[in-house]
Amino acid sequence: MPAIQDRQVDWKLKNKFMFAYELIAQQPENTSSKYRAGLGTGAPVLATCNSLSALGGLQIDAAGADGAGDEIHWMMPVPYDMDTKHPLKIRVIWTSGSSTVADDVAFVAIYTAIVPHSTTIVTAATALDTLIPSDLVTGAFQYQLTGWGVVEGSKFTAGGTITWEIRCSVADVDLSGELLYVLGVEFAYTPKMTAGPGHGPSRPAFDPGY
Amino acid sequence: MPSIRDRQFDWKLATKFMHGYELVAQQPEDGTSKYRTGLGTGTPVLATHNSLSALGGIQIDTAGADATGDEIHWMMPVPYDMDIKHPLRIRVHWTSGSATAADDVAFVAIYTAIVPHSTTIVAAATALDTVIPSDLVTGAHKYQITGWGVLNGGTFVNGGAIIWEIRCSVADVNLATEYLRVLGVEFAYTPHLTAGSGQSTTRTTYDPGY
Repeated sequence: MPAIQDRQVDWKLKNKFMFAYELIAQQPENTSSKYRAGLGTGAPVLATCNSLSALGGLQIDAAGADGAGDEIHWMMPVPYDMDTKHPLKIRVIWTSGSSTVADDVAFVAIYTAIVPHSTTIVTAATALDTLIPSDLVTGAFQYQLTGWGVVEGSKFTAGGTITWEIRCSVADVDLSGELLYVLGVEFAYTPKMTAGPGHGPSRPAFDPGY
Repeated sequence: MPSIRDRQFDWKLATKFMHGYELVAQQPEDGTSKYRTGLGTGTPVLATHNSLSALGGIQIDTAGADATGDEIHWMMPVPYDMDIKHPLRIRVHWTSGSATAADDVAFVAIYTAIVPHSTTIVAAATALDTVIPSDLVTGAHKYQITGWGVLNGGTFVNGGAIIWEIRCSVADVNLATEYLRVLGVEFAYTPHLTAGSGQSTTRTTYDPGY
């Protein structure tokens, strides 16, 4: 029986979800305050979402430009099962106490592609090829997903890694009274699950639209 | 070349394992005691197993009804690769110091399905369609796995999330001296990895029986 390879399979996008706690878990624990110290500007830490006993999120106290708004920094390997010819998508999962449905919330993600044994590990510096679209509050403490931001294909090396930074650049939400939390980030990419060259360059995996 | 889709695969169930530390990792750290504060009743935290240096589990100090027994609360996204037409199973991995083979231990899981941009995030409230079967101690500090509890298909939406709570409702184990610890929870579901509509609703995914 001939062996099946990626090009014969109509893969849908593969996904990786990183919880808020994973985004800050690379930060050292702070021996005086006992909180993780936080690595980016503002050093956001995990906080219980207002009156929600089920989960905590990274509380954003300040929105703004790079070096001004609260920043969340982390590193992750290029997914081992990612076809690096194809794009990597990223979106932010968030919630807030605002019930003003016109409130605008915009997240910015930047990254640095790290080539193993070559690139010095540095903080994220490069903008996405397609920015994460601005989002609108849909109701107080709803589970909200931004649209996808995109890094085009061939930006990463298989076996390499990525340093990331996200921050909130615009928030109509009252950050001190209504509160804004990042619950996690999610990635989507074309999988490469078999031997062979993976899907053709013009054939990314099927996007199910969610 | 014809593209292969889910229906042409004889997939077995996909699983996701969440360690004890992942279940409490969404809880903020306590700035005073250095422990995570715990989000549910009893605020259970990770503890090292009695004389076992290899792992920690979430120590259950009180068994009982909702809001009485120790509760573990967490959130997770609906698995991106889950065929939501089909059931989601959940079981608990646990251990105890009891050597009394007739000791009964029962875990209860409840959930709330979250629709993004719609459902307010609230604590878990709904019982499983098939509850997690009661378990019996097989020996002191054995690695034990309950049977599967089941949520029927059609309960979740793609892109959504699930708020979970588990607690121990019955424990013949002496919780003060023999200890009972949750090592993790495990999910099993029908995978949906390709374009197309996934497996048919009438086709039961292969269950390897472990």
